[in-house]
Amino acid sequence: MSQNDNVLDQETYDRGIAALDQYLKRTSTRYAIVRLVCNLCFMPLVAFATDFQHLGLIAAWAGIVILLEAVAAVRVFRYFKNKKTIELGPDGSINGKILSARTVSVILYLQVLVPTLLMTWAYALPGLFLWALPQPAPTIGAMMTVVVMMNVAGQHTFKSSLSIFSAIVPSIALLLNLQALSTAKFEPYALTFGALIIIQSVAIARAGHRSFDHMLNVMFEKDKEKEARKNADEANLAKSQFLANMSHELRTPLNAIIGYSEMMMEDAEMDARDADVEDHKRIILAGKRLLLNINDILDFSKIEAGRLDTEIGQFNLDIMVREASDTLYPMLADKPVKLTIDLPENTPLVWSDRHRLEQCLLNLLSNAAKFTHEGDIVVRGYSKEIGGFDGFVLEVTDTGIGMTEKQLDRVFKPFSQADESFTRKYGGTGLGLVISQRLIQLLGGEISVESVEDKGSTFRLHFPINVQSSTKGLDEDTQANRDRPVVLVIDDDADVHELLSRDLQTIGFELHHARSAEQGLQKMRQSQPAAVVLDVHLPGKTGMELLHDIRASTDLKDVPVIIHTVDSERAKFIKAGANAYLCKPASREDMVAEVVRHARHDQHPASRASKKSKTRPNTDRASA
Amino acid sequence: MTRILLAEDNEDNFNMLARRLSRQGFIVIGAENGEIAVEKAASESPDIILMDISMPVMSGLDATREIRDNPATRSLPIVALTAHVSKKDRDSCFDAGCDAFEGKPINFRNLMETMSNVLAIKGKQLIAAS
Repeated sequence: MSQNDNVLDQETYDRGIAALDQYLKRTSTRYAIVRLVCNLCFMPLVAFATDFQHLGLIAAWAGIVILLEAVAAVRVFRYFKNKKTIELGPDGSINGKILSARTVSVILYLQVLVPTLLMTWAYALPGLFLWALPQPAPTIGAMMTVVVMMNVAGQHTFKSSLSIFSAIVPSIALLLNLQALSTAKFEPYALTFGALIIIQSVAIARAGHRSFDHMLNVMFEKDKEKEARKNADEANLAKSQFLANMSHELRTPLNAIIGYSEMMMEDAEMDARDADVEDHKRIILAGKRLLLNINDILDFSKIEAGRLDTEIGQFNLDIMVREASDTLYPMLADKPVKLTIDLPENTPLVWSDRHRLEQCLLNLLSNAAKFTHEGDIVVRGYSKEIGGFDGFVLEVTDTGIGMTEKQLDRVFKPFSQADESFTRKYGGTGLGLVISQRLIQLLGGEISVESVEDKGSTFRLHFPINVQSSTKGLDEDTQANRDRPVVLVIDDDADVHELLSRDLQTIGFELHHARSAEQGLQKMRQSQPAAVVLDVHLPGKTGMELLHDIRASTDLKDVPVIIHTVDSERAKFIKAGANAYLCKPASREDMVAEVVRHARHDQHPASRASKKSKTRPNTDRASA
Repeated sequence: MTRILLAEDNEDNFNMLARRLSRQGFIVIGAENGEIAVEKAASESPDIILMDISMPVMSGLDATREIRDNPATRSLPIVALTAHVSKKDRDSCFDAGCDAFEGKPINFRNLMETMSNVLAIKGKQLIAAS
């Protein structure tokens, strides 16, 4: 990173431009008025002082001042009109060139230098025009020019305080000298003259605040902020790295503990040593509980660091709820507690993060099991809108120990089980509900609780059922360097692509996608897939027609085709040459089974194999 | 009988898994680091590789890449077996060229299922001695 310290990023660049624009705007509006008024006041003053002897000269003076200001104004107007927002490259380059922040700030300033100089000359003019008049006018003029030049110099220093200093000091000196210099004729005007010069100087000094130097300050202060942020990021990274290592170091021995215990349990089972089986079971269960606690702590740390991400996919709520509930039975085995599941007939298919949602529900269920000594645990589900979107509620009601109001207040606070004696009595990290709350929020939902002490509690998960996936580039066949068999999915429904991607990628296939028969045919020729999953209802040419084309072709006739459609005419498709037929939507198990059964295993397209090389970026060493 | 190359540097975990797999009737070939795994992948003609990721000398990811770069071993099924379980870790396993991923602590039944699926994709079966 060190070589990039002085290279611009977009944010710094934008801030620099904004500072510059602000300077230019002020100089050409507010300060221009002050400038013009002062300059135009000088003129009648000088006219009076010289008994109207030099009106032509004064008129020329006024004309040139106005002309300069007008030209400057036009330049400023044109600058703003033609201003383009420049997008920096990811490496901070402008049009392919990498420049330091300081260089860029100089270039930017040069762009506005012309209007700035024009305006500065307008300032300096009174001094020049007074040369032609009787004394003390030329002396006063000379001093004014010095004042303006000092002001301009002050503008170009690196300290804004210096620009004010350079405005005030010579102005006061001028004012003090005016009295001494004045002749009888000029005297009445001297004070006014001096005051005007001070006003003008201050205007220049204030403009200087927003000048080049200010822009530099803004840009480099931003650098300081960036540095602080970088340090914070590094600390955060170190923390994440530590957590990742901890996770690994805790899991590795647990792997041996659980593995050996399972093996010994199997031995004991074979020898019918029942007592030993029970003991080993306890070790395994304790190991698994330890694993859960480790997961809790790591999840919580990730949530704290804002590093927890979700994996959105489609799944059946009904199955998820039942699977989660199944894990509860062992906990209830020796208690008079009945677990009831109450779900509507047709629970919707849900787009969300199955793993995280299940984690929330499991947390609620295991709490219910933990704190209920007799009675019922009921899992209830129903559809209910959330924030105008389709949503669903999962409710876990128990007849357990319940909570007091005070305990209710603390229930979603980290590290606080309702009571410290709880930890001793019931165990657990006390993070479960906190994690559940954050997880469900991450999925766009919320968690709520009602409870009566000694009567029981109801926890409610309310979540949207169509969470948008952040998976990008479904249409791009990514990960081309993976030498895995390709499954081409031809379907016009984006959801199907997403769903199949998840199901098939996890077991080792690479997924390619086509939205129409034509695109499908083209992609088949490109990638020679190991199998094709084909929808029948496609825009334009149908899947059935495509199937005929495939079987009639010379190069593609051997590609296994799995028809995936809502049509029920299995025989028709098989007769047309389909290798398998699945009624839509096919279950994950059926889809995996058919694809695995029919996929050709000798397809490693040369185009992809040749892309493999030793120059692949080696980014994974950190985790090695 | 399916020949399983088990690359694992942790002695406890190696012994445990090697014994469990042998008991199921598989032939287990051991490798205690990535470099040995790459050698044995070529010399011992295994049917499938179980690859730990954090290993001395050469990591499992590098070993996987080497195996994929060698035409003789390119199509060997590789199952990453690691206690690095985050999504990022999983992705880097797939990017290196692993066919499947199992987190530690291992769920033995899941591991068997994964092995059998990964082999099935390559047109092979998981065969145990009876």
